[in-house]
Amino acid sequence: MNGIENIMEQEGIGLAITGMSIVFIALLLITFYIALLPTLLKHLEKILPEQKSGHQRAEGKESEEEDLMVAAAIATAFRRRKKLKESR
Amino acid sequence: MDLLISFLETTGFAQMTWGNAVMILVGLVFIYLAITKDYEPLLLVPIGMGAVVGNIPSVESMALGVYDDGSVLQYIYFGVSNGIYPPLIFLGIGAMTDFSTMLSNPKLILLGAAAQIGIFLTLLGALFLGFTGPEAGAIGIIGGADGPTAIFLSAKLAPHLLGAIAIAAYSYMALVPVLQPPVMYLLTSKKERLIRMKPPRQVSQREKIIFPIAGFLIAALIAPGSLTLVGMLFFGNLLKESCVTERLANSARNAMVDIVTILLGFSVGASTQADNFLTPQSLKIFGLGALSFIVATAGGILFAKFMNLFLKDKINPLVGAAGVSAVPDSARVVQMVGQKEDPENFLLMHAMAPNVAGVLGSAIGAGVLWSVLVGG
Repeated sequence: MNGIENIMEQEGIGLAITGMSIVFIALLLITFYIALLPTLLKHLEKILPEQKSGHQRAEGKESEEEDLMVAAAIATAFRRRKKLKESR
Repeated sequence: MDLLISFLETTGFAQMTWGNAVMILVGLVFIYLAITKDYEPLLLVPIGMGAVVGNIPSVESMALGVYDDGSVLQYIYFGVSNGIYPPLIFLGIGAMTDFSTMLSNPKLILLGAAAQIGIFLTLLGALFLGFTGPEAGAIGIIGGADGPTAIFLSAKLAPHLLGAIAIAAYSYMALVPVLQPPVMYLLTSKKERLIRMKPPRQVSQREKIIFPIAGFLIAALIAPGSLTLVGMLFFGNLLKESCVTERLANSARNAMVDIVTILLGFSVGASTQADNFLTPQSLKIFGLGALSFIVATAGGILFAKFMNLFLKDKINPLVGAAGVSAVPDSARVVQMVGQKEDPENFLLMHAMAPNVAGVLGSAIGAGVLWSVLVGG
């Protein structure tokens, strides 16, 4: 069996609409949750203030490497901009 | 003399079929594209070499191929046929993914949801062409543009189509820079392509730590079928963001994901033996796969345009194309197309948000299809 008949037989349209709706609802809920997160964290901060731990990434080797990469990216962007201006 | 003749009859040359030759050629084309065009080399080289290895004909009494009981390749393929490798790859992806851009601009997540229309319209297309429900579900997931998810779901719903689906998914992922731009140009005006978006806000470490736990709970409670993939994705991300398990995160995103990619790519390639792979069904799957990528790209772009009707800070609709989850290739394509119009417009960071949301969306979609279609 194929064609529209097979789609109807396998309840394809219902499955597609339900599946798409579930994906949308799940991601919509995650969107709402993320949008609310900063507000929730503000309240949480009053009860459970954020503490600096020895494991924070800021002072690690990785952060130095990241800083270097960011610096390189900024330098490239500046160079590119300068070149563009010169070519105009 | 008889011994020599019987030996010659067992050689690959004597047993080679035209199908084997075609598949070896396909494998070589993959290797060529990976090396010269840089199309997904980490995947196409193992898959291509696997296809070459898998299509060398062997003597029936010798257990050599992935489908021969007790062969070494069958043990390696076990991770594919039982859906073990994809969650491990998701663990690695989680450990290398930075959700900051998504957390800083959550409305972009919806573009990742909209692009999943590719999955469900392809499912309808597959049913139209006469596939059964579970087969159509497994084919539809190609539209999620996520190789591991496609393999995971095919292993569960239609193991006999796994080779064709995996090859189609990975081939089209490699072809994202070719498939997406025409759709992007067709559906957007120059003015829209020039839209500059607000830079993302700074996201606190606390947000990054809480997100994988809460995100997992929401996704898995709504679609428990996605538990394995989403669970591993968020577990990997928690390892990365918690800052206390840096060693584990490093292993997950480097050594482990590399090992699993090698085993998965090679055994998927080796599973494309001509007699299983060169069928009219495979041709249909390839056609549907191409269509699914185009539909998914269009879905993301059109939804971005729809959202712009209501938003004060407009979204560049090109970013919607990154809703297909081919990470990070589709985000790179968005950046490339955007910069052709305006070299000073940097869309990459914005595009990463729907891109990672697309990974989540396709994993949830796979979970839904698995729970509904299993045993169908």
